[in-house]
Amino acid sequence: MLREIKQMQTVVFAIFLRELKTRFGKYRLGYLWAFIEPFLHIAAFVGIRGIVAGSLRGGADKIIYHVDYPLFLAAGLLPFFMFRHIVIQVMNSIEANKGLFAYQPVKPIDAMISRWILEGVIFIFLWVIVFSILHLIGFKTEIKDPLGLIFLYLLFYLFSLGIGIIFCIIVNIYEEIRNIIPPVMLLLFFLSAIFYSINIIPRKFQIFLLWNPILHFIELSRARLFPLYKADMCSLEFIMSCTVVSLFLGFSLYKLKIKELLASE
Amino acid sequence: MIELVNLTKSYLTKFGRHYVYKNVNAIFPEGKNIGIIGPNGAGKSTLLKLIGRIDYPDSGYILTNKKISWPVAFSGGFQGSLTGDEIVRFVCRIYDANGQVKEIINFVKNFTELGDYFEMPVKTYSAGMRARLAFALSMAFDFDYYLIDEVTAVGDGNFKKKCNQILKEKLKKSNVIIASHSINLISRFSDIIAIPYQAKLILFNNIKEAVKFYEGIRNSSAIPELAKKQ
Repeated sequence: MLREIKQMQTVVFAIFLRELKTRFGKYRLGYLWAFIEPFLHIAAFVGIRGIVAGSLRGGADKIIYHVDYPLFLAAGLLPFFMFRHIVIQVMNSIEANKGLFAYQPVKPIDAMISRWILEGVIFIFLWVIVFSILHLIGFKTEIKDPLGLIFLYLLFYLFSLGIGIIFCIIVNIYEEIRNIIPPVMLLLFFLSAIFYSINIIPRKFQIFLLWNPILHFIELSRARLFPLYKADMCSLEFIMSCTVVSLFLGFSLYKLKIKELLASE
Repeated sequence: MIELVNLTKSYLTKFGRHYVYKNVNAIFPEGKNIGIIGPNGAGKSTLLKLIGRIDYPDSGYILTNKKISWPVAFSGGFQGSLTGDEIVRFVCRIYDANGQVKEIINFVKNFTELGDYFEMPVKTYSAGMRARLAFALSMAFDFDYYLIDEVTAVGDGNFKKKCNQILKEKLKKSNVIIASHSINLISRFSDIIAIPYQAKLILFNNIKEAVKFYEGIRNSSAIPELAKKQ
């Protein structure tokens, strides 16, 4: 057991370094691209708000529940992008690393875990850089409950891994499911309280939106981040059970189906 | 020792399920070189892949406590944007050979004669260069069994000679499992000959007998289901 863990560590680290080189190595601006996505989104939504408000400053000056709109957006977009990237990266990890499984120490789970870790590292860098830049241009906030925030992000991080593994197994069994992933992600983008707050949604729609655990993660993390933000409707117990279920389902599916997936038909 | 226990492997074809192996039990004894011979599509490569754990059986399993290589000359793990040097380092890392990285890199560099190309992305390599890198990489590690599929020798005559030489060197300490349809190659390297035939695996200790048997079945179809339809 201990030897297996040790071996997994070395393999995961080796694939991690390899991913680091191949993931961004092919682009001209390399790692910078990881930062461009959230900034473009923040700019786009601030811009849309501005148009609706009728003035360019309108978007940036907008305040939702005592929070500047750009900060509010960043706190929603960054975790959501982490989720989306983890799910898609883990989902494609078998396809992308098939060649490596000829080396006996390399197991599919190693490829999944190293991609997951890489996304986590990217998230931390992104978070620090995006909030620093927003701070520099005048959108300031103090962090209300840093430990609670880290705990929530960790929970969300684990939840994303479980969902990623589940999708990975499913799309490798039913190849055609791959086609519905982008629309599902788009739908989740609109349903996860990323550019709005659950508090401003009419009550009769809230009950539907509250089925979505991602919304709970995002709103609760905002409540841990911004001193005056409230997310009373969201439940920590709910997302904790969702995380347990997603990990349990992910690893069970993996255990049951992985050999079948790797076997030629 | 490698033991095949109740091994079953099938593929779905247009004519129904085709069993390459059905409940095969076999033992490859300690210290023997194995040659797998058979016509195209008989299941030689399938067996190698099963032993190398790249592919998995429908049922049954393969029991061994030996270190088994990846198929020699396998270059599927070469990502185009990585350099030869980076690939060798990667394989060193996953096989936990960090102490010998320098020796292994030197060995591969000298053996492949890639020169400056060793520091270039593998997508710039010619097919021959890739094959040489793949071959040298597997020879740089010590395994109990090397899995060799079909064409051992790649490249020009000079390189072929080098390949055979190092294989002979390796055979002093290790064993090979070779799949080929060349009787010459098989009889040169192997002590035991395995012939996949009608979803079974038939083992021969005597090369002459094996050759005789192989001559007899050579022209029979590998996929009986297909033959029946015609």
